[in-house]
Order: sequence, then structure tokens, then C-alpha cells
Amino acid sequence: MLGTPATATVQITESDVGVQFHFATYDATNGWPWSEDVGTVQIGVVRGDNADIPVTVDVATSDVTAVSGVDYSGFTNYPLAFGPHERLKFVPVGILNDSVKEAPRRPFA
Amino acid sequence: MTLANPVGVTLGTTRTTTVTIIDNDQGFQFEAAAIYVAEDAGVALISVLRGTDDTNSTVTVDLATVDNSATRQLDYTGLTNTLAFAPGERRKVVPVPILNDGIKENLEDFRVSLSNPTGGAVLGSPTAATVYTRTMIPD
Repeated sequence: MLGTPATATVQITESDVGVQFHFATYDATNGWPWSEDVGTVQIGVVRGDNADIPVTVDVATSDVTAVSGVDYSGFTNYPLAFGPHERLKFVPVGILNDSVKEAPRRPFA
Repeated sequence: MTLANPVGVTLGTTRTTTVTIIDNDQGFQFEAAAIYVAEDAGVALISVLRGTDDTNSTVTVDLATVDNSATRQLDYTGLTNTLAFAPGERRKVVPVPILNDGIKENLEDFRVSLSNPTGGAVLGSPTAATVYTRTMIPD
């Protein structure tokens, strides 16, 4: 005969955090004082799963007050491929320099 | 920046990031807002800065003097100049002749101003400066 309890519930906690940006903001206050003559900046994307298979993710930029083609070289679909066991990749974004006085701080996302 | 369309993996929580670019262009400006010169100095040297990082082009700005308590052609030689900054040139020094009338006067002053930038350049700050002339005759 069966005693009680005869059933048990097992909960599995997700341990994979997936792919995400290394930092949510890049500005002077958190250690990234990028002037418009900085050249190319590297935005980190980290992979938090067990990294045993190749995966891909698309990266896109969008204007906030900085304008693509004027202040930076934006893109709509930058394919980022992680090979097996690769946990950190960088996305290069070209920052454009000019001689025009503009708003002191111009973000893009 | 945004992450989307993951294949073989899920998206984490930090799916967006914001990048802030800092402007490095200040525009034309006087190096100092106040310039002191002795009446017998001969000239007042007015320093104008281009104020931009990109100096690959020729840009111009107009500089003019305006009387205040000092009077042009009596206390100084008034002028209206267009200053042309050649590629690579970041600073120009404009001499303004100071006239010595030999009369003991109080501290006198005239103004200089910047206007009309061309070549894609802009005005920064300050675009107005005051030149003070001192009579050096002892009491």
C-alpha cells in the first residue's frame, strides 16, 4: 500500500541567464567617458548559459538624441555568433567626429 | 542598442544598453573675458581660440571692437576684422593698437566681440571680452 504523501512536486530553477549586454549604460558617470573622437567603441555581450552549442543573436541600434550617420554609425541587424564555449563578444560601433558644437551629451540606444 | 532574435539561447534581462557620446567642440571663443593693458603698452593682444577638435578645414569669424568708456581713435584703434583660421590653426592673436594720450585717466575699457562664424564653425563662449587700459602716469 502507498503511504502519504504519494506524490511530490519538483521545481526546476532556470539557471541560464541567456545572452545579454554586459552593461546597461555606457556613459561618463559609470566609467565610460567616450568623447566623439574616441573612434570605435566596443559593446560587450555576454552569454550566460552553459555555452556548449553555437548560438546567434541580432544586435540593433536606435537613435535617442544622437543620430545614426551623423554622430555614430548605426545598424539595424548586426548578427553576433557565439561559438561553443565563447562567453563574451564585442560589438564595434563607430563614433563619428565633427567640428560642430552640439549638445554636451548625446545618447543612442 | 537592442538584442533580438536569439537562436539556440534565450535572452537575458539586460536586453538594451544606452551609449552616451560627449561633444568635444566648443566653438570660437576669446581665451580671456577680461584683458588688462597699460596705456603705453602699444597694443592689446586679443587671443581667439578656434575651439574645435577638427581643424582640417578653413573657418572664419568676425572680430569687432566697440567703445565703452574708452573711445576709438582716441584711446585705441578700432577695427573690424575677419579672422581666417587655416587648417590646423587653433589660435589667433589679434593686436589692437592702444593709443597713449599722456593724460591721466581712470581705468578705461572697450569691448571686443566675435560674430558670423563660417565654414561650419560655431560660436562658443565667451564671445565678448573687455579690454581695460590703465594709465601708467604716477600721481
